[in-house]
Amino acid sequence: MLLLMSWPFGVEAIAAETARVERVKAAFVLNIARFVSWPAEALSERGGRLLLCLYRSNPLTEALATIQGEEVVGHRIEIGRIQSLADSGLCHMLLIDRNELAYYSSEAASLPERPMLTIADLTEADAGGQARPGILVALVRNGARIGFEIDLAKSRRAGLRMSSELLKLATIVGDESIP
Amino acid sequence: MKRLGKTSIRKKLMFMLLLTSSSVLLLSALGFAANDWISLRRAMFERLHAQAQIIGNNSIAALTFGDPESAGNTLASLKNEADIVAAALFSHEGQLFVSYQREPNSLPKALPKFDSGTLNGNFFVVSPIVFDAKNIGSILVISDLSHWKNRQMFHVVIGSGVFFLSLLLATLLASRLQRWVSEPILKLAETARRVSEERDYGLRAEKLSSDEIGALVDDFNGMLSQIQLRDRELQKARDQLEDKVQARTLELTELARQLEHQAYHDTLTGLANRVTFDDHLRLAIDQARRTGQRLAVMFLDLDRFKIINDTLGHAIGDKLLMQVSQRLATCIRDSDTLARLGGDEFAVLLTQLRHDTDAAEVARKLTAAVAEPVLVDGYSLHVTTSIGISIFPEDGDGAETLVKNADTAMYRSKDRGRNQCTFFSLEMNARAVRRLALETKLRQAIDRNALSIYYQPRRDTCSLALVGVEALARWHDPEEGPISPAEFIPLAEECGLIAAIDEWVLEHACREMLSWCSDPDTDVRLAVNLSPAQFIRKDLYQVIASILERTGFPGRKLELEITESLFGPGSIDVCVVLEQIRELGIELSIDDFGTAYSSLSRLKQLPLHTLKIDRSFVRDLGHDPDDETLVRTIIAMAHHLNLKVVAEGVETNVQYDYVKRYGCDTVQGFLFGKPVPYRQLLKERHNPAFANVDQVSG
Repeated sequence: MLLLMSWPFGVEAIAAETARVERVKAAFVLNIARFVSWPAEALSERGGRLLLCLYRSNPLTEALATIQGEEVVGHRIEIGRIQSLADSGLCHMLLIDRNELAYYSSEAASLPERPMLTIADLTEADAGGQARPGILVALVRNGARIGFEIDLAKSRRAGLRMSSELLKLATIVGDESIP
Repeated sequence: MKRLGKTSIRKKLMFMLLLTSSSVLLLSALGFAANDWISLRRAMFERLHAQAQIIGNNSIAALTFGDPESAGNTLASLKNEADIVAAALFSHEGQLFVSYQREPNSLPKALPKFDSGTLNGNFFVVSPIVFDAKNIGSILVISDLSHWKNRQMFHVVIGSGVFFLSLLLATLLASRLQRWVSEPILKLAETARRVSEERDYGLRAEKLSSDEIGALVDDFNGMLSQIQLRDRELQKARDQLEDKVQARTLELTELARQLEHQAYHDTLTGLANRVTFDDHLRLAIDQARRTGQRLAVMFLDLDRFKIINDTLGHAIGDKLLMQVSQRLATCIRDSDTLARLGGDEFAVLLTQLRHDTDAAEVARKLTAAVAEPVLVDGYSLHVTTSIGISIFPEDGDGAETLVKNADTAMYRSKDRGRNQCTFFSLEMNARAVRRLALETKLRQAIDRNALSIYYQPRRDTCSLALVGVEALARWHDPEEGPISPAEFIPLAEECGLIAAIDEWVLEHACREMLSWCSDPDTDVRLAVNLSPAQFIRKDLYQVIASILERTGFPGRKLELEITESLFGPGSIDVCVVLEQIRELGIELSIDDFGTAYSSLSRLKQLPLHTLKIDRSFVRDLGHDPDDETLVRTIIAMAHHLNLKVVAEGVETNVQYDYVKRYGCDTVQGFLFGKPVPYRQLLKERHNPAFANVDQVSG
């Protein structure tokens, strides 16, 4: 059950609530990964491991440690950190915090299209519902709950295939959102 | 099974066929139903499982991301499935995540422990939701049973319909098909019944099939042929048997008729027999008693018949009886009964006597009829009959008494000299009893040589010298003393004993008198009586000759006395016999002359020497002038015929004087010597001076 964030009941309470939300986000990341299919060669070249990369700083680092070692479609999740998009050659997934989104956008323009699932945490952002450069999936606030947006066209171009189940729950954004 | 035994073979066959087909139908229907039930149930569960899986799969994402709204939408798609009443998603921890129910309270509170089954009358399946090899939750789907039940019911109805249709078809087929089997059997049975009802063994059963029943029909027809054949033979045999039986019945009827006739009639003469006579007599007595009439019973016996029968043989005796029977029959009325009681005994029953003389008249006619000479095989037989008569009711009121009394009266007739009839009187009974006793005694006496011989002297009339003796049989019974010859000689003649007595006397007299008569110094002759019965014997000559030979007695000293009746009218021809006897030297004399009819001319032809005047004429000499004339005439006639004359029974001097005066040659009688035994005779021989003679001469 995903619960809403609720403010403020003291510092400790706020800290606990923040940690819980972060764990939910980490679970979201893991579950989304499970509904995505990577090209076979993309997974095999990493020795059966699924590399989750954190782009520069990310508040979810601590929460993501809980999913370290989980298996997704037979691949163990490993968590790594990159400082530049140029280092992302081995990453299967790239997690981008909202605060690093501007920097990422500057790097993402030159990014070649390759099967790497990029997920941005936009739950704190005000506006959503639009495609962003280099972002395939965005976590957004959906009322009291957390939802996600998927840039389906871009995902396809990147060679990733999204499960229809996932798409049922997601909001489709991008050029081809309205076919 | 017993009850089934009474039903017809058609019904049995139909019953069997129907039982078989309905069993098979029922079993297969049940099999199909069970299979249907099981497969439908399995199909239903499979469908439910598939649906649960689809719903579960469609709910993976929603469950993963904890999106009840999306999951709710997915579950809501089940509302198009009419039979699904409820569905629910449970989290991995078993907590209800989202649910759908068509009707409230269809869902259980908790997840069932089994993955399928029934719940509140509904089917349910629980399917795990696996995502990425992990069990992320479960889905529960509940299906309404009514739909399945309806389908089942529909199948049952269809199945039952098919079952009953099949049964109907089976009944129709069975009723048709059973005829294959039952028809030939029923035909056969009908033929068999007709055969037994109509007894027509020419019927044949129709062969409808070539199976075992066909073989049975062939065998049955073969059996009928056999029976028919045997029936015909039997019929033939029966016809033959019937013919035989008919023929035999006719024979038997004829035999029975003959037997009946024999039972009531005499075989020889055809007259009624004793049975019939007794019968008629009883009836007649009954009737006479009622009407107060009288009747007579006559008892007839042929005199001297036994002698004829014994000497000439039974064949001649039988013929004589037949002729006599015919003659007797002509003398009586049709309403009277003539019967032969046996031997020479006859009986006559005269009914409705009007006068006392009626019976005597009939008796006279009968006597006359018998007295006529009877010609049999060249013999002219002269028989007479003695008749006894008893009258109902005077002489007895019962048949037996009447017959017995008539019998007694008949014997009385015989005693009185035969050839006459006598009416019964009460005093005769005593005589009859005595007669019977005497007959028995006489037979014993002859057998035991108990008779003796007395000799009566015969003397010369003038010189009174002894010229001969007459041998006379005497019978001295130890109980009764001396029995008169007048009593036992007729009895012996009647019983056929006279021949034996005559021969015995002849032989013994010859022996006793041999020495005396052979004495050349004396001239004494032995006279022996010979019964006329002897002359019917053809061997009389041999008998006499052999006696002379045995005893050595000289024939010329022997004189045989025969009675006059031997020469009566119709008597047998004795001349030849007498001639033969005379050749032995024997002299012949006529005894009791004058008592019977004697033809003088006939006497002349016979080789006689002497006449003996019967004592009845001598007795009345001096009293009855008729007798005196008769005696005188006899003496004269005898002398004329060159015969000597003997006067018998001379007892008084008057008699002696008379016969002496008329020239009688010799005399015999008490006056000149009673019959005495031989010893006494010897004494008197040496003492010739007789007291009586002295008186006479004196």
